[in-house]
Amino acid sequence: MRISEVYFPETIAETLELLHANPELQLMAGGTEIVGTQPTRSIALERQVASIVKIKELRKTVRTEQFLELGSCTTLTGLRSLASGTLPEPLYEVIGGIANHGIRNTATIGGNLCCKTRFMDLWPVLACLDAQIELRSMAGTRWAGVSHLCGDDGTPRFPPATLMSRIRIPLFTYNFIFVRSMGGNALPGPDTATFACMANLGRDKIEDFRLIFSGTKAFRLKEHEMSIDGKRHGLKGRELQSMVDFYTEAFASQDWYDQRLFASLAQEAFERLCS
Amino acid sequence: MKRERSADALPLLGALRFPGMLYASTIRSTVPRAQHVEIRHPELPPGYRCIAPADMLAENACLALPDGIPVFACGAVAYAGEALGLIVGPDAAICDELARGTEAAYEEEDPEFEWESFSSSQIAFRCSTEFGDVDQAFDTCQNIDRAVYRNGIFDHHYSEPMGAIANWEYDKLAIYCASQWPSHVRRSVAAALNASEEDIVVRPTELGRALDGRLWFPSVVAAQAGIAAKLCRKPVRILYTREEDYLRTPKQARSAITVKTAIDDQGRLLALDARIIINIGAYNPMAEELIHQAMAAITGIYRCPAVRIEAYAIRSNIIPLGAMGSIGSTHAFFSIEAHLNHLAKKLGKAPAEVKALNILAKGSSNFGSKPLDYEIPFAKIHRKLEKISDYRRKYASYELVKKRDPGSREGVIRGIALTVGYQTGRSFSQRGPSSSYSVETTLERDLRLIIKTQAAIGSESLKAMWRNTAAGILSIPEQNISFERPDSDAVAGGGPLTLSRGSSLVTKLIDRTCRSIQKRRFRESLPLSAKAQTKALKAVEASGAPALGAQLFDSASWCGTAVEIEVDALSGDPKPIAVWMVVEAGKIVDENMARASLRASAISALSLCTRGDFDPHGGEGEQYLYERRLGLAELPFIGIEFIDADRSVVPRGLGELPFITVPAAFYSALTQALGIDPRQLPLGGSEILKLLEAQ
Amino acid sequence: MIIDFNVNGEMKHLQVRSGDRLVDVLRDRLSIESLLPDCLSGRCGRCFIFLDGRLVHSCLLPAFKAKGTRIVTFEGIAGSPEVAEIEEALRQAGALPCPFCRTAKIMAIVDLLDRHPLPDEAVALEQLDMVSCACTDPASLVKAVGLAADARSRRKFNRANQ
Repeated sequence: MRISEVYFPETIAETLELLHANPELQLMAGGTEIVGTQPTRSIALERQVASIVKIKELRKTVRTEQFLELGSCTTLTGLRSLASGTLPEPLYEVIGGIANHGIRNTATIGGNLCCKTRFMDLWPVLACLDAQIELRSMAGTRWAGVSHLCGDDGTPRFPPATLMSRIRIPLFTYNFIFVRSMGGNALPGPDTATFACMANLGRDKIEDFRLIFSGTKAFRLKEHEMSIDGKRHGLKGRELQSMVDFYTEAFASQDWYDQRLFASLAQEAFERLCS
Repeated sequence: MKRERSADALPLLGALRFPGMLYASTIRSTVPRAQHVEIRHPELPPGYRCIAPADMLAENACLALPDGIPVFACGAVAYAGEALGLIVGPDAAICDELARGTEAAYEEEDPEFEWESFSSSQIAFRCSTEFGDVDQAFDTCQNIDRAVYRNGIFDHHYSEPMGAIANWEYDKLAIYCASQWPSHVRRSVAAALNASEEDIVVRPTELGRALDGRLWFPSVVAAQAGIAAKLCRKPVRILYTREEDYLRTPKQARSAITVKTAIDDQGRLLALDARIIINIGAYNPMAEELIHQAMAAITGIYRCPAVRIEAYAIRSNIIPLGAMGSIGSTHAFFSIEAHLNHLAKKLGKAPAEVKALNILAKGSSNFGSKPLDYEIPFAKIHRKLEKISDYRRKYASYELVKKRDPGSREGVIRGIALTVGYQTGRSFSQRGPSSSYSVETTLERDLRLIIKTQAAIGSESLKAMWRNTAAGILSIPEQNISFERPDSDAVAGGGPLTLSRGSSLVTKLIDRTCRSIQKRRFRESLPLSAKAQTKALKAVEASGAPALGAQLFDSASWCGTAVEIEVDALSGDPKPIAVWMVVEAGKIVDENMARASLRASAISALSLCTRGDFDPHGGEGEQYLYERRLGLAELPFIGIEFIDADRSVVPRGLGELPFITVPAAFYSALTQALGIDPRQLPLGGSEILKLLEAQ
Repeated sequence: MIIDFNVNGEMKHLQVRSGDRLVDVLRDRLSIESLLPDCLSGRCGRCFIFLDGRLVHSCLLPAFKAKGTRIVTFEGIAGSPEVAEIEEALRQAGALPCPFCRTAKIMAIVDLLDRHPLPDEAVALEQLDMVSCACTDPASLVKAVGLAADARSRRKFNRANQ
């Protein structure tokens, strides 16, 4: 059995020092994704592991008029138990569909965002909400959009020797929200993906449109989203279908998810958007 | 604080600990077919050893069971994942890692995966029968239909992963394991150790839901543990992880059944020609039972004047597949029901109409067997089922929706179907004193009642029913009643104990022994004991051929099942909405208990239809982790009603009824919903979407 | 490494390896028999513990994560009125869990009623779905939850004789 060195830092500063000394350090918050995907009797971890879930600074929640800021080690249950109306509705719904209550008691929002092998349920929703993440390293602190966790090739990426400490969610409401989680099990599998589509429907125009679909990879046409802004909602027939077809044709080059299922989701999303 | 368990609770295998016990992990083949296997293990820490076939042979162990099943692949590998040896040591997790890190050198051979068309060397068992002039019937008939129906490989989720412990008890080796066939375990371990059966005692552990999947494979694992205990001179435990149990234990077999029928203009069957091919994987000692039961089930409850059945159990280089959860009936019954639905559609008739036309009536016979001496309760069950499920209205509505908007993705895509089937009380096994059951009941001085039976007790509700029965007869409190399952050295060897038949026969025996005690109770002093024994009726002729036809119905229980499903327009996933069952199974001692048992089996049976096909070539771990099951919230409404038998009958088994009827009804509902006939189960969402688009 | 933690009111100091699962340490080293390492992926519930008051799957936790925590297993609540009420409710509802999942189901119901004194059917089913075992019919389990919730309320408000 490989024996790992396990650290229990008590502050963010300690954690950053450890990261600086060991760039390969494995940060473990809830650890549900790390451990849950190993159906063997013993658990294989990296050579050095830091358990960070008890760091108080990483579990704080702050709400202002414009933002909700969550510590990255806030558990999913902890998020859901925030006062009613604190958490944006789509986030609340998506969290409720993740795994089961026992896993949500352990899993954290940071762990959900930092998965190396795939995008988990929260990423596309937070990306639609233009959430930001605070990244800390010995070099300093910076904020970046959640969408920066996606590389150019559509796969997850995370900067080395860096700790995600906070997630800031703008409390900007959309009046059109369509989120569907596909696949279903305690753990995500090949057919697990989340489709998130949000917009604001003004008096007669679509505004702030975004559509993100992610699973083992992510799919988003950011430039095209801007071209949908300004279109009339209430589109029907050929115009509506052309929007759907654009997306399904663009998705045809993706090989990580069933084309038909994506097409069904896109169809339903646009039909609801325009109805 | 220790958790309290009832006094008669059997131990859980995973809970047992013995002083000095070692743990063993299995070294497995990574190739499906090979010769000349040589194990190369990594450097082992102190206290760990590798047990390879050469070591076992040096200790005079025998690496094959009496029925030819290998305990370890010695020299020849028959499937990827087959056991090659063991790593034994004091820490289970380290043993697992060492076993995973052990390599083997082989001379690989081309595997045989193809099974629907096969070579003669792949035939493990074949059987055929013919009655009437089949060729003449086909030659003279205009309405001939032929179709192939396929079932995938199903996995059952057992209450506990597979395992066994071998522990030295002075002069005997005690084997702890959960098995439906304890005498087979004893015989197998004795053979593996080249020892006498007197030297082996089998101590049963809690079986839980075995679903007939714990018939023979536990004997293999027990023999492995026994060999390890002999070599190490210490107790040894083998206990699979859940992933290992999922990937490495036998599954329900894959089948392809070709049904060719000739019918008249009304839909009456004139001839039936069935070719049954069942893929049993690398091997299965119950291939004969599987084939016999499938042959018996292929004509369903229908009369046909000319029948030919040819059946094959085919070996292939994949994990052993075979007898479980209705042992072959599911596949055959699904095929004949699906085919009759297809014929009905072709004739523009309702399926129930065509089926009613062909039901084997009282006084008629199949296969030249003795005529049926009662009326199959088809009409009675059907009528009741139609009423409680609102079948006619729903069927008509869904047909209308389909016609108006074929393949609609916007509307509701639903279907409903009925099927009526049976579970015979006869046994298809020829083995040993086959399927004999015994009960010994003792009423002690302090009015405690101890019931000893070697019947597999897999359900708390069953035990509760038996307590209720005994308490009622003897007028003692239920909490005074406990069960003991005698160890194998106290009970004569018996055949495999399939749960459903066992439970009904044991109920009879408990009733009989308690009444015997009650008669003597106030005339003789306590303690008083009574014994009773019975055998399940055979469904096999002296020649070994299956006994087909009406005689299978003389001890049968009957069930009509209606399944209503909805297909998710987005994902294509078929979801069961409701299941109704009408059961005629003789005297029901406790309806609540019977309902609970049927419900649990129906849920398992639905999982066979909605879960993905097990992929024997699937990746390690991943397939297990992402395997889906019906969650509690997804479970459909399940309504169950019992009807009285027209004839006087004793309690009969009913545990297999859902496995026989639910998949057939589910499939028929799916074909109604989709308007297409895919002729296979299971069907996943993406496959259904493909079929809808093609339409 | 050595970790200190509290199990059912008793402090423990144990040497554990980084790759040890908490369920195995609790079961094998501390003889907590109610725990059954089974799915090892948080899907069956047979390893439920309360960790600092939260119901968690101990199979998903490396043993070192128990450091400084307070753990309560079934053994720690077995004699409590809450568990007695649930066991009676299960019996009355005709829900007889098998020996493999009985303690898991009881732990799940204890946690459910702690968070939802009057749970509806959907909430009850979602909670009980964490214990993956087909031995018991869902309708009778939901009924048992209702009966247990009622018994707890009566005890809480001293309506025991009603």
